[in-house]
Amino acid sequence: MSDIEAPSRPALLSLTVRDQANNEIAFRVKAGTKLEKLMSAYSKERSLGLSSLRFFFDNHRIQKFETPQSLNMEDNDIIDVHLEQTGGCAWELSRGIQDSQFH
Amino acid sequence: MALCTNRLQEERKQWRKDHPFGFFAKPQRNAESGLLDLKVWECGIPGKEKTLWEGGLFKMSVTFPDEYPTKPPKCKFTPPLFHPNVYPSGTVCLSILNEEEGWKPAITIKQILLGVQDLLDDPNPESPAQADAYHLFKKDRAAYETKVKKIVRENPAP
Repeated sequence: MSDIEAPSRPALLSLTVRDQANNEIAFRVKAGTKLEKLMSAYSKERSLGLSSLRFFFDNHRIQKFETPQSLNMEDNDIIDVHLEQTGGCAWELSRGIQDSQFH
Repeated sequence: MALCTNRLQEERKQWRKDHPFGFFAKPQRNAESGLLDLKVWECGIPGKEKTLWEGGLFKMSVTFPDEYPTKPPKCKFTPPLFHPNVYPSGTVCLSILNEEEGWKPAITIKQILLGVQDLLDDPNPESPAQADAYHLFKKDRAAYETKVKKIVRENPAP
């Protein structure tokens, strides 16, 4: 048995980037082109800084140097895009502010 | 067996084309052969927005029997999850995953994962599967919620 997901890959793939609110933008990309290009095109389109976005494919965070080919992407695959965020409010605690002061 | 494999290939194909945001579901790669094992999937379920579970991502393995889709897959949180309807082993107790109850061959993987996501914030105390979460849920709701929030922090969504 060969790899089940061994793709029959056309020269151009259509990849859809989808955000939390299910807004989608589709891109046509070459299988061998670094995904950095897609990521920066998306950030321009959305007017969001590239550093504030994180792109995931199958729970794998996409790195700039990776390509559709290296990630075994197929035509019509979907990429999830998350906004960068940091949880927690350590600064409040460090300043001695109590939770109760916010209510 | 062929039915099982064909169906799983189709499920994976559909999933790649369209899946709910924040979820993942992919056949596991065999550590030795490096090939994909269609009958064991690694999945991730995000906590639903505006619930206690928001911000978490919970990993679950889904194992399909040879008789799938006649028989349902087994869903198991790895590591086991603190939840009234999850067995100490991590196995999910849910009607749609029970052959004698609500399982139907037409239920898709997407529906299963969305069903489990719903279950997170809507436990059924009439049918507990683990003592810890059940007792806390029944007797001390505030402590239960604190514990869930802690688990969410330990399993953050990306």
